Amino acid sequence: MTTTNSLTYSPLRDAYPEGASYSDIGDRQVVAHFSDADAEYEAIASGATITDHSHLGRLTQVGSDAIDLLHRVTTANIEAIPVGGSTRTILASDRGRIVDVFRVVRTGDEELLLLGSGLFKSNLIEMIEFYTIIEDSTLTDVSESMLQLALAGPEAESLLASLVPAISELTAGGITDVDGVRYLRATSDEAEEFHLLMPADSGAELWKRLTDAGFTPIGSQAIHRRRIDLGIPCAGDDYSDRTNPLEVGLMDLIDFDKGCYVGQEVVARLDTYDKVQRTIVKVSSDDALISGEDVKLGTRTVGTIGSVISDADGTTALALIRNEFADGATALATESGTPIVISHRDQ
Amino acid sequence: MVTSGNPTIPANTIQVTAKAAKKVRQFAEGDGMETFGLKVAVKGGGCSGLTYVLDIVEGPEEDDKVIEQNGIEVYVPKKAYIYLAGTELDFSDGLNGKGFVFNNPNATKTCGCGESFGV
Repeated sequence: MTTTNSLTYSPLRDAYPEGASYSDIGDRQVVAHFSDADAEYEAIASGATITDHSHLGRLTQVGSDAIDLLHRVTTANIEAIPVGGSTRTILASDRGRIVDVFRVVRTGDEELLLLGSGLFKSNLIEMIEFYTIIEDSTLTDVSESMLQLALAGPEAESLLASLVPAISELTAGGITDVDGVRYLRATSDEAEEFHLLMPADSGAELWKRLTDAGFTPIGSQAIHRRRIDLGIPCAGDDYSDRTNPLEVGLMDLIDFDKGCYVGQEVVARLDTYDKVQRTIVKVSSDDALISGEDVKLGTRTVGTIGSVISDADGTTALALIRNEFADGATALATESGTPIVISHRDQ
Repeated sequence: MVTSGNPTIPANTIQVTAKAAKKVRQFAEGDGMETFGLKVAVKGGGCSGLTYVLDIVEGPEEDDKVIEQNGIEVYVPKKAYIYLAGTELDFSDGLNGKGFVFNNPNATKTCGCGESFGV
């Protein structure tokens, strides 16, 4: 773990319980764990947890052409999002590679809120601004003025509903505003969680209220492990501007009927002719694995290690592996000679 | 003189061929427009990232650059001009015709349908 003075902390830092341990994510110091990382993992797997997501990217996009513009450049049907709804989408390059994966919330007739990875925020801003030529659309980075919390775990909904009954009425992707806090039900196939958005100066009070009510604060390590367990790829470790969305299981974020968007020709061709070369799988090893390390069959490179989590029992990771070796029938090892065992993401 | 992909077109203008100008005039007169011009612009979107915008309008907007070509006024938003300088707008008709065609020297790639381009 490294610490440099140029890294910034969350505005909620003073509200955290004692003993937080930090790690670097991009240019931010993010809580790795508050106390025992294993206990935090158990909490997200079986209880109700709260996580500070203030290091992620939050942008507003406002203007009479904002929705049309984002519809034309990203993979999802943005025009179909009702006011008060949201969907996840991908901005890809013209070569069909991922710029960022983010959620688009339609907060008004001509207003959007974009919730992105944070790690690729500057790329997302740069690309949307590049495509904004004659359009009435203004992009603003509100990451510092707006905080974001995530509530997760099987008990999260019932516990939150006991405090904010209105969230029970929310459909998938829907938002509701209660007492200055915006609640979003961010459901996916793999997991259900709620995102809470609020002005930066009111975050500490809400954090205290939720932890007092029983939400267990957890850090990025437990989230990371849970995500790997569920086979959910993340920005940086598992996808980047060298990855196409189909390789990393993001097919559900692509509307194949909406018509053109940036990178559509490449993505559609890969899908139609079944030309996707790699697939994301879960792998394990008794020894340590390193994110970014090549996976080898003899001297041939057949994949790359992505997200990694280690514990006393060994290491679990996500990896991008060439399709012909992704069934686990062939013995593979990392470039440093560590044997790996493959299991598919849905097993 | 700096030239575009088509050596007859200066890089600091947009050329509308006589055939394209005639077609624009026909469309405008068909719509009963007495005064008109051709709006040519670029917006984000499409497979390759940028998409052409072509429209017959009554007059220029405040930020439009106005160019006269073959008796037609062409209006180009200043922000879009950087992507269009040196472009020839032609019209391709007949059974195999493609309609209005942009020959844009700034385009480093175009998508299969020809409606979008990258720089």
